[in-house]
Amino acid sequence: MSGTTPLPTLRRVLARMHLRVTLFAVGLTGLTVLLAGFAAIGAYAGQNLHLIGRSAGYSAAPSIVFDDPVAARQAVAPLLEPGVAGIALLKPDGTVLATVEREGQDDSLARWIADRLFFATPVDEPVIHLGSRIGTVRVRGEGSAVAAYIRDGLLGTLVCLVLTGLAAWLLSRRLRADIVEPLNAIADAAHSFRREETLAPKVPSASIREVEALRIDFNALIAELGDWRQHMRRENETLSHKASHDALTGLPNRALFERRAAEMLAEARAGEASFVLLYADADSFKPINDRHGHAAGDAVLIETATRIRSCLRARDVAARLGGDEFAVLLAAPSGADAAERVTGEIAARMAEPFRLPSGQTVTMTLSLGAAIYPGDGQDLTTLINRADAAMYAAKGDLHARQQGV
Amino acid sequence: MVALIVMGASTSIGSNGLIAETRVPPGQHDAVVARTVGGMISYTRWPEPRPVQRLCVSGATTYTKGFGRIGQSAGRQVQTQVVLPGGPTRGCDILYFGAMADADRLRMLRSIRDQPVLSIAEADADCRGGTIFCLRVLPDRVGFRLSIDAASRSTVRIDPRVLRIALPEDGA
Repeated sequence: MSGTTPLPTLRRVLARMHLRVTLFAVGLTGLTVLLAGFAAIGAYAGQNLHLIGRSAGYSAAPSIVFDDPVAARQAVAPLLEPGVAGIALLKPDGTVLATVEREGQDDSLARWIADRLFFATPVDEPVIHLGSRIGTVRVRGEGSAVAAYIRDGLLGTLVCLVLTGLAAWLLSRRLRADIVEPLNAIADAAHSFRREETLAPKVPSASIREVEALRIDFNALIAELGDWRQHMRRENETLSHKASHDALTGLPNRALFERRAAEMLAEARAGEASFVLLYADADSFKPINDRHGHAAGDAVLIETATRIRSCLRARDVAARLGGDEFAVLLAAPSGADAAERVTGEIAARMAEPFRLPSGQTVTMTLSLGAAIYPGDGQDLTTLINRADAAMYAAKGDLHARQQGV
Repeated sequence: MVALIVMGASTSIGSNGLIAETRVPPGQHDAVVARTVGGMISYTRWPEPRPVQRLCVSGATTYTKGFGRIGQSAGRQVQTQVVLPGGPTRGCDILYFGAMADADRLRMLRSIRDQPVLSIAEADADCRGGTIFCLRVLPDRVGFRLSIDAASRSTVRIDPRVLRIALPEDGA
């Protein structure tokens, strides 16, 4: 089968099969009845001709005895019934005494067939008088009755065929409701499930056991697949979250930060808005780590992330770039005011002492540097460098202040 | 006194035609008449048929020369004998009337009334003379008529097929 040929539908296949079976049955039955009728009618027609011949011989015997053609005609004329084409009375020497013929013949094909089939040869009956044969009655049959039977039979068969077609059509409609529609529902559900339009489509119940069993299994399978797909989606989300977030603090990592920064830059560029990029670096993280251990360092980092996050709006982004480096994006529109305010808030929050798991408290501050798009740079690298430079400047100030004190 | 019903049916001879007729080859009237009379005998049933039936011929006849072989067409043995006009009819099964005086014929007919005798007239065109069958001999054919009235007054029975073909087509 070539790939371009559309496959027939189940309904079409079933309807075609129904039609074939019923047509075959009707055709076979019709043919059998027709042939049996042919045989019976042929036999009866032959018997009828013999009876008519005998009757004509009886009626016409006196006219043969008296050699009277007129009386002979009158004697046999009433026997010209339907089915008899003509009656001839023959004298013993073979000469014709009288002949009567039926008038008004029809010339249909059915009549021709019937005549050839059943009445090809005439029927001869002897005429007996006083125990000896005085003549012969020759009866020719005609097939108008058989022709009518053939016509009616064919018409009946045709009507039956039409009824059969109608019945097959109704049956196929019924099948459509019983089989094809539930199957279509299953197919539609599978299709929409595949295109992820629905999570777990439910197929309505069917009225045929096999289809119903298929439906139940299908629904169960779809439900399992749906669960599995949801699980996979969660797993993927977790994995992608893990790939883009810092495991310790839960903040976005450098990769995600750079992606979000690029997005924000594109948005700001398109909307002609400004946004702020902050860089932050812990000022005294290493001594805490050295003195109190890694667990303490981790706790301080987690707390730092929480504190930074608490100073931001939902649309702002806080990321841990690595070690004790953090970065913040203040979503557009934001400018120098916002940069100053957030820097201040973070500094204020960082001023609070950290409580370590051991119960001790430590303090750690952040050096922050800000860069504002578009004033400080038109691209991300420039902005990052500016913010980084500003941060180091702030750190330098801090060192200077500490040494100065 | 008695209306004789005369049946005519043949369209070939007109309204007064014979119910049955036989074509005659030239010069064979005797044989055809014998065959016709034999046919009449063959379609007649006697209450007590005798093995040899007696055909009595009376009066002046023209076509009786073939009667010697009438048995062939009658299907039984027939013995022919001559009876004087007006003479006794006792012993006759068939009475064939030739030309004779009306009084003689009537006397003979009276004598066979209610007797099993088949009466045939050779020359009675209208068939009103009181015989059951009346021959009508024409140059080219021999026909006969049947008087139902006369047939009903006899105790011989004529085959209904002969009666039937004697009936006129309109059934009157």
